[in-house]
Amino acid sequence: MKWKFAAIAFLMAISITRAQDLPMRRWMPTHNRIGLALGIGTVTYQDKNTSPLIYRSRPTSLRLFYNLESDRFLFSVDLDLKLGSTAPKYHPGRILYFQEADYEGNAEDKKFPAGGTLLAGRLGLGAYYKVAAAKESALKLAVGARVSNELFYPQGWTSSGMFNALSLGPEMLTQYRANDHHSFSASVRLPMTALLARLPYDNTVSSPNKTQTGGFFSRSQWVGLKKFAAPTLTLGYNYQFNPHWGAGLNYELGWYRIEQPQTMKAVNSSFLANFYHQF
Amino acid sequence: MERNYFKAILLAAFAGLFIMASCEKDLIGTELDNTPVNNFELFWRTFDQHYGLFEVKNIDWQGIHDQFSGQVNDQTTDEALYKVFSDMIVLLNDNHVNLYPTNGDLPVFPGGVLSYRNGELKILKIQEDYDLEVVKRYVTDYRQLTPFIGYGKLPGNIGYLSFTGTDARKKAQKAMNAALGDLAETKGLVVDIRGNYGGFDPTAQYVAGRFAAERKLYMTSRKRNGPTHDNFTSPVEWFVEPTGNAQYTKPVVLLTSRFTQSVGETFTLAMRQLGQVTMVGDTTSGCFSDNPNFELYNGWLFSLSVGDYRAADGQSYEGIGIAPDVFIRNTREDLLAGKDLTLEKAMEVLDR
Repeated sequence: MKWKFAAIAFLMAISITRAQDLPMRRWMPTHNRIGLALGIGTVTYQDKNTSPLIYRSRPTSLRLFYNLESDRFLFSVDLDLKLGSTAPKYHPGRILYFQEADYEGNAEDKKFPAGGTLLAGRLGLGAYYKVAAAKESALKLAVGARVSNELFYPQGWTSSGMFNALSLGPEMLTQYRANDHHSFSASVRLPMTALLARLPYDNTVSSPNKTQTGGFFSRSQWVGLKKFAAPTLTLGYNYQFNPHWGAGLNYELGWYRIEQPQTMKAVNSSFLANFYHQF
Repeated sequence: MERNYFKAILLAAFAGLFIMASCEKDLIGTELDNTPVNNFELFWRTFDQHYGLFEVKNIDWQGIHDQFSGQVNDQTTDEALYKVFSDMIVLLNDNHVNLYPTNGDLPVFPGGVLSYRNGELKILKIQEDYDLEVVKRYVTDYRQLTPFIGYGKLPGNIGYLSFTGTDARKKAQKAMNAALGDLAETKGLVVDIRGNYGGFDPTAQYVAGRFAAERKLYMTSRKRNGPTHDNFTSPVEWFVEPTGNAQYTKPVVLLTSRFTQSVGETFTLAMRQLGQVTMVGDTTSGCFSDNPNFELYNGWLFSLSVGDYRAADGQSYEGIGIAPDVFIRNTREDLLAGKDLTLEKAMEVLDR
């Protein structure tokens, strides 16, 4: 796996280091951008603390975002929500069969799907420094940090995969503005530390005088990369209609490896179409 | 020049996407083959690494593996595997152990042995000693406040509270405020948990606190936290103590049944610590621990008890149940005749 990530990083590095002598352009035509994105995607995960099965969900995604550009910095706030059904990848149509009867002699067979839902949410705040060497080129680079809280909340007959992580880590952004209308962007981020909440080994949350939510979050603990690794790559294309309005397409690929209390891995990929206003 | 940079970005992007998309197996992992032998071994191993009552119930789980493993090979049908699993879990005598086949043809199998009568062990599937509709013939002004909490009044200025499961905490608080507010002037109260099949322990702890005058230990719990049979968390103490804006401390009869289980039973442990409570009815089911679900390679689900829950005196009632102070059990014929003799006995106790 390592050589694959190294190859990606190398190709991106070549692109960035050669981009120093192009005419100056800002990242955005104006200082503020606010937008909405809708999309679809796939989330695949396996949580060995609960199940040997690989689950797959194809949730619908909604993203609200705000970007601010100053002379030296970029700032971003974004809220992502994903909602969809979820089921084991190789057993998508599971049916449960209950035989019910009462003392009056009534009997009834009930069959219904053993389905589940996935709700995933993420609130992110990022601050980035526009690297001086790339300031005057069409290909730009900014480096910074991002604080993000992610909730991964599958519900069904098991709670396979559930976690919440408040994480902090570096992020690198690049943008290539081909002309006044077309721009391409990419980002890579890697949380270095996280306040992680997971179900314990016993997969339950009940404890005295605590709600279910309180029981779950009371077990949160700070972990490093060894227990929470979640690199994310995003790619985007934007078309600027005029200085105030634009639209675009985004692709995001994220990978999670959580080692608490047992291994959970997930891959998330999303395609989103966005529409934004600048002022 | 710019075109070169653009190409480099696109190349990096597509390379990244191709590499990431083509290696889901590397990124996630794989499932073991869905074979009867693999499913049997996983079923046995999951109990081995998570079940919390081997010591309490003196169970030789390795012996059970050796007893049943010879019955499973890669030609074993779903029906035969279901029979093997069912036979294994019956030996645990645990009403919290359930098998949920997911092919739509085999019914859910409850693992609990709820009845031992005339020398015969039986899994009771039909509750024949309680029906809220029969109760309502005795109760005036019955109000169902939430899916699990309802109340009304019985003859002789006696209150009636039905508690059949646990709502969200705030909902339970609001309902208990309303019910105990309206029943404050009664001379005694029947708390009926004969239809309480489970829920969330801390909410039941809150409800029990509405009857508490002082703080008392009622339960300890510890849960499996590792693969060997003696891997447990440190014991956690559960106290019943006054909760809410007012407590009902007049005489209370707690009505129980063989179907009172799980949270119904931890609630019973709490209520038994209160001096004004008399327990009337049948012995409870005998399953206290939390019981999350796990899965097999074939997609089937099963639940198991991950904890070791004890009464305040250190005694475990798992597989046994809590015996009432006054034993009485309705029969099917009683209910069909619209009679609830257990409820009548409760009123008699409160009238004394």
